Amino acid sequence: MKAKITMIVLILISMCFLFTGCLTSSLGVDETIVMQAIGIDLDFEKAEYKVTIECFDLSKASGGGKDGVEEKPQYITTYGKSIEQAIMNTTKITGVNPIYSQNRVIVFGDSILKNGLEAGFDVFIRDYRTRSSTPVVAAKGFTASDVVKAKSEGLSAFPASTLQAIVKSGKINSLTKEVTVMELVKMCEEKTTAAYIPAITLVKEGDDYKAKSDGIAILKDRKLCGYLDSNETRAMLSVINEIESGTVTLEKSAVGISTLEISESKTRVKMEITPDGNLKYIINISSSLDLMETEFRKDCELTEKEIKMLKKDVEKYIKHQVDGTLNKCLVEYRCDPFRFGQRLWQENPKEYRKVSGDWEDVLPNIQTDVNVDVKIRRIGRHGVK
Amino acid sequence: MMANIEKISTQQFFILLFLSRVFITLTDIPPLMGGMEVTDYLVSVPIYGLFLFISAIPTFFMAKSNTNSNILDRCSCISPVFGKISAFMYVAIFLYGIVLTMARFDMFATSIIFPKTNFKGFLIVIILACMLAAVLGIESIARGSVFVFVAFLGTFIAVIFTVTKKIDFLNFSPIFYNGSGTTIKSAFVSVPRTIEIAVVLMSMQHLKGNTRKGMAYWIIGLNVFQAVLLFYMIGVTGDYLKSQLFPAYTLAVVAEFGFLQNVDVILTSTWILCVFLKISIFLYMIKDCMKVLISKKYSNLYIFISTIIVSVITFCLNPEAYSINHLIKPIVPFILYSICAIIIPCIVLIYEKVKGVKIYES
Repeated sequence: MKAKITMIVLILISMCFLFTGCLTSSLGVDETIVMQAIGIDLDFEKAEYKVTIECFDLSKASGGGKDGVEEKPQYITTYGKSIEQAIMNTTKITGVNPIYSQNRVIVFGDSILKNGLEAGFDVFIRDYRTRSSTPVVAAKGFTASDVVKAKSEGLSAFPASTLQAIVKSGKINSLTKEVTVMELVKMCEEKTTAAYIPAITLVKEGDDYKAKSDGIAILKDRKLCGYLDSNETRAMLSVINEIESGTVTLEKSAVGISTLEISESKTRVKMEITPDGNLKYIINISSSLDLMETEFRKDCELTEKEIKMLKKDVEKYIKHQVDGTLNKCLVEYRCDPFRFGQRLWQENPKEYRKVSGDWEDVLPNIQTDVNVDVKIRRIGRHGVK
Repeated sequence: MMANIEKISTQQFFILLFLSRVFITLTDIPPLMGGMEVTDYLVSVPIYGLFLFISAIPTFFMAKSNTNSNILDRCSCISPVFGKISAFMYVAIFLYGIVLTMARFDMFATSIIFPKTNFKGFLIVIILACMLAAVLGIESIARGSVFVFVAFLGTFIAVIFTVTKKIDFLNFSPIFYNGSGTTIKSAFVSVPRTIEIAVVLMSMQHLKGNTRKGMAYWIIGLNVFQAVLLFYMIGVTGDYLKSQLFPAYTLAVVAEFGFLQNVDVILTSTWILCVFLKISIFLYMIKDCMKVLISKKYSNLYIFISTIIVSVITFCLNPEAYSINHLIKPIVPFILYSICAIIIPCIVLIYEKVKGVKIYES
């Protein structure tokens, strides 16, 4: 009996290892290039997609590389009638297979976003080699090719790695937000929600261009609608309760120029229908901040009165930012990245059924009431007078 | 009466059935149930549980008398012809179950794991391994299933733990936004996929312990697992799951903890083991059915013949993308399930009640 059970267990273990990887399509190191970033633009002259790939040549990194060549990213630009064709056309140049699994970021140029994501995005949902956890970014004011080829300021030798880190920096500064393929598709699938993706722009330093985070791009019906800058992005994130960390800088406050660090932020949104039939969203933002810097005075200690005044200034500032962002999105852009429509659907499906067909027309009439409650938890190493 | 019957505990047996059924859940294809919003999938789980429980009532009554017989033995006591007809139906349902599992696994593997490979060869290797397991006996399969259960549970809990912070309650849709009809239909259509009820009816003589209690725990456990899985799938992926062929797999893709990424590979390994267990136990059941249908003289020969039949069918299956749609049409499993899980047990129970006979005593 023990022999039989042992046999079964051996079969099970062998299945774990034998049937979960590629066998007939396994490739040697010198038969592949590892894609690190993919940039997609529309070339209107050629009427084709222009795909720029940052890739990493494994054979050169292995130590057996030719002539002791230093590890550098390679950039390959190809064209195709579809993105899949354009990526496969890299084999015409390199002669080896591109590997998707280590792709760190997908960059969409303005040309793609303005034209609509329909044509340019399906490959990242359908193709088995792509991963739904890959971040997506928008190239703001530049082509995706420029962004992919931009110099890296980060710690890694690979710009794609830095691009990925920039996108993830939203967890640190709340000035941007990482959006993966899955999250973008989810937002696009929701009937009333406007999707958004983080925006990357380039700054010139000498002869080089370096990538920099610059807010988010808002998409309406999968087409570029507009941008929110960094501060507006933070305001948007506070409405959707996605603030993890970051700083708030007041140029004019009771104690001069001040910077406070957000240690905690929670937002609760309530929905009501007003007597005249309009939708009203009450947004209650509750934040704890620590004072990190203020003007260097002779007397460094703050009084309780000053702290209270500073608290009021911060509340006013945040409220002003949030109100401005709400107005920009709902009235100017007529789009809903805050998922107000989704909230209405959950809480009042009957009302949602009435308005969802004309959601764009309903948005400017939505009333919002922003209430900010700030607690200045710590004022640093100085005490209170 | 069968001499030298292998005995396994009810815990091992229902763990085996849990893993066998779970594979269907993990490779479920929700887009085929059009018109449902995401939360309705979650709501359909308890409805499915209720329907499953109701359809399993004859099985509960069959298990009430703690006998050393299975359903076919009791059918044969009514009439040898009825026994053979019943055996034929059970062979049909188990063969269908194996072919469907292979097709599903083929679709999953060739869509996600080995798209460029002719997977038929691998399927044959897998079924040969399952044939070997079936020859080794139900005790070996059941004990192996405990090993798989621990691995599966560990991986599943790890995935759940890592994606918990990604849950967004705004992803849930209002319940029955498009009406309840499709949800109830979806739950009803899911019941015949639980061919494991037929395995219970065929295996009572192998079980040590309270079969009814074990079955109740199994049904509850299955529903709890499905509910938890769907809750996390909807909470994390939202409407994205509608665009995916295997949304449960997508959940594993987005799970990452610390330096560990690509956890979906580990989860895929355990899913493959579920396939192995499912096919192994079904092949073993076919052997018991063939003994009634043809002759008790042979045993492993029937497993061998069934393996050949299934291999031939697998090779002949249409490789086109839409072919699985024909296999999973509800009518075939509905008919087979109704006959094997409801009608035949009811006939046996009614006959025994009318005749006032307890055929086998414990």
